[in-house]
Amino acid sequence: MSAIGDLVQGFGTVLSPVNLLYAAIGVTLGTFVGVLPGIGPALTIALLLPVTYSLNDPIGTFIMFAGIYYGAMYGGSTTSILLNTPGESASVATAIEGYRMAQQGRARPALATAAIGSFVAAVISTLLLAFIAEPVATLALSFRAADYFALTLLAMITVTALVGRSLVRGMLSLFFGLFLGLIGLDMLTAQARYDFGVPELLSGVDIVVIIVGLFAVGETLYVASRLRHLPATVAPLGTKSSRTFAWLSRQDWSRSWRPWLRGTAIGFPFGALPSGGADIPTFLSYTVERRLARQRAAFGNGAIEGVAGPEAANNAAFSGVLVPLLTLGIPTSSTAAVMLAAFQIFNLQPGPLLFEKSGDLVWALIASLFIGNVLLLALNLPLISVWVKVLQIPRPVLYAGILLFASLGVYGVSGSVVEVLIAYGIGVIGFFMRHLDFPIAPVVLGAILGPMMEVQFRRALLLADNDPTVFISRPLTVTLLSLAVLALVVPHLPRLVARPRGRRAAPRLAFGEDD
Amino acid sequence: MTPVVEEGAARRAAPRHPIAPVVAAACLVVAGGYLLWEALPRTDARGPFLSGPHLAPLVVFALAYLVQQLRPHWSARRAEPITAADTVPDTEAVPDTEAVPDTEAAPHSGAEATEQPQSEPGDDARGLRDWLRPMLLLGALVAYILLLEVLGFILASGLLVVGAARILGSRKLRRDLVVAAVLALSVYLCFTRLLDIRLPEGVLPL
Repeated sequence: MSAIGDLVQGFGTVLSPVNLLYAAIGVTLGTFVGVLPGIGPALTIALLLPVTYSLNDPIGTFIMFAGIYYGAMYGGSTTSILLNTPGESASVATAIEGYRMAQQGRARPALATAAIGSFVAAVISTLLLAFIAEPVATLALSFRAADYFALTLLAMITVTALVGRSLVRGMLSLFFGLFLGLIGLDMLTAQARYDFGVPELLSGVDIVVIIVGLFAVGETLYVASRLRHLPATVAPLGTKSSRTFAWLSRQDWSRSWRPWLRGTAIGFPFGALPSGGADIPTFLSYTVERRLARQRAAFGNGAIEGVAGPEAANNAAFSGVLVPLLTLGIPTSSTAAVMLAAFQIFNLQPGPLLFEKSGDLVWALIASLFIGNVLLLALNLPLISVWVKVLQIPRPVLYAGILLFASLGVYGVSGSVVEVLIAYGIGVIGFFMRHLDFPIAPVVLGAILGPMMEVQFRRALLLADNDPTVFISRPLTVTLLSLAVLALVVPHLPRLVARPRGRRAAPRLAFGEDD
Repeated sequence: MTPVVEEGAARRAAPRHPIAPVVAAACLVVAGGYLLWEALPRTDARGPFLSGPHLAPLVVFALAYLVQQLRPHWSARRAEPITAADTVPDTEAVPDTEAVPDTEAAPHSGAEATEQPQSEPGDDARGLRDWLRPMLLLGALVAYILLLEVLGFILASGLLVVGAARILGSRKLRRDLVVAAVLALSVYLCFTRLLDIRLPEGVLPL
């Protein structure tokens, strides 16, 4: 197996003192920012992007980003367990049982099962990633423009249709994102589109501007509008009890390990398929654990399975998302979209050729995922009292700081006041979207996948002499397109089935709230 | 963003009320129409495939959303947007939605509504204050970015942190001042000295 050899080589790169330092900085920064309530992994990476601008060591930077990526996840689960303020939708399932456990004084076991479960899931899923990535990349070499078009379409539709509660709202969000993606010079003919006479818009709206606007500015404005609805108390950690190993009693261990493995098994495939990252698998895992639990009554009252499963699924899906990102260059979650931006800063185009062109970087990245998780496990539980301190930062100061860093993030990237104002404008729209219950993630994906889709669509047509049958002539394209149609229909199946039988309309299938 | 949407944003600045979604829908229709109109003349120049596909759906779905707001129970069936929208003039919107308040949450909330969207409007004064804060915050942000290159990063950022914290309900001015000074100074030094990112120096000699 060449994958093993490559991986060993990757470890060789990562295990140098400098790169280990990068990894340590990454996990610490990632956890610190991820712990802050209301900040999810996507925003964490977006805010930390300026840090990379002065580093001209791509491998070191990506090792740091791997740390930030997972650190933000670990930090997010701490916040949802102790504060019931999930930073992103993937942590919502964890918050349900985790916060209950914390209220009952079982915060430590909840944090421990989340951290160890994340670790187990990350190790298994990163191994899977290591073995799957290269074959998929080889396969992807045979993809043509029409296939890429179908794939991006599928990714967009699954994310929009399956996540969130209303298809129409999701679609409107997606179209807003597509519109943002249209702004700027057309990639093939260099015509200006929707620049509104603003020269800064000619280069398009940067994905960092969009993410900072939506997640930082929009979120803070939203928080400001509902200050009196916020939970303000951090659940106490509870006392350490004896007869536990890593804060988990024998019973906790025996109740946790199966959910960890099941969560991983659910999370990785869902992450690897274009299905919107970790939202669906975490809720699926929660549902599965509730069905399988021996003490079903315990669910809703702080069942440890309900923390272990979703957290494992969350992390496994995070590694899974890297499969389409690295091999096809297609991000399927907001976080992956920012990672793609990070790649582009170094002029690296993720895709099938990445493994050939920058194999050492990819394998170092994969190896650093392992290292990062080991560091996180070592960092997270012993330092929990530090993270609790971070949680206790007074809200007004915290959000004032977030606004400062958001502005700084955009200004640092662009050096332009106008770009910051654009981010604020997007933030205002994001605020109204949150207020009116529109999902945010489709905006990000629309903005980043839209231009990709358009280019592939037009390239396919150009190569086929404007013959539209190019989209139905290859079996792969047809399969992907029909899957996209299926994704639109599936959530409505319960209702379609229910109606002829004369029953009351069943609710639409929905997977969790969106962030 | 488009002037259309900005104008809409100002108009939407009312306490959460059944009318808010309708206004939002109207804004979307206007914005969609504007975008389509912008796109049309270019379509001739570059062939029919190019920018059409993105925009037509925008309009269609804006209409679909409007319809959904006008006839809440229709959303269950995903009605044809185009035929329906022609027959229902805008003026009917208000009585219809008032009969069924909080329309958009009801038909879609699935089995698990993990985070209930805020549906209780509260009394008017409180509701108004809820809207005042984001507006003030936005004003502070715009002021910050305009002052940034005049006053310099440190002063402007310090003012932003103190001001934003105050708008967000902090009443401990001394703490905020200390936090603001430390944060602004350390960020400035980190970025300019460690990361080589230039930030406006402004009036402070450093």
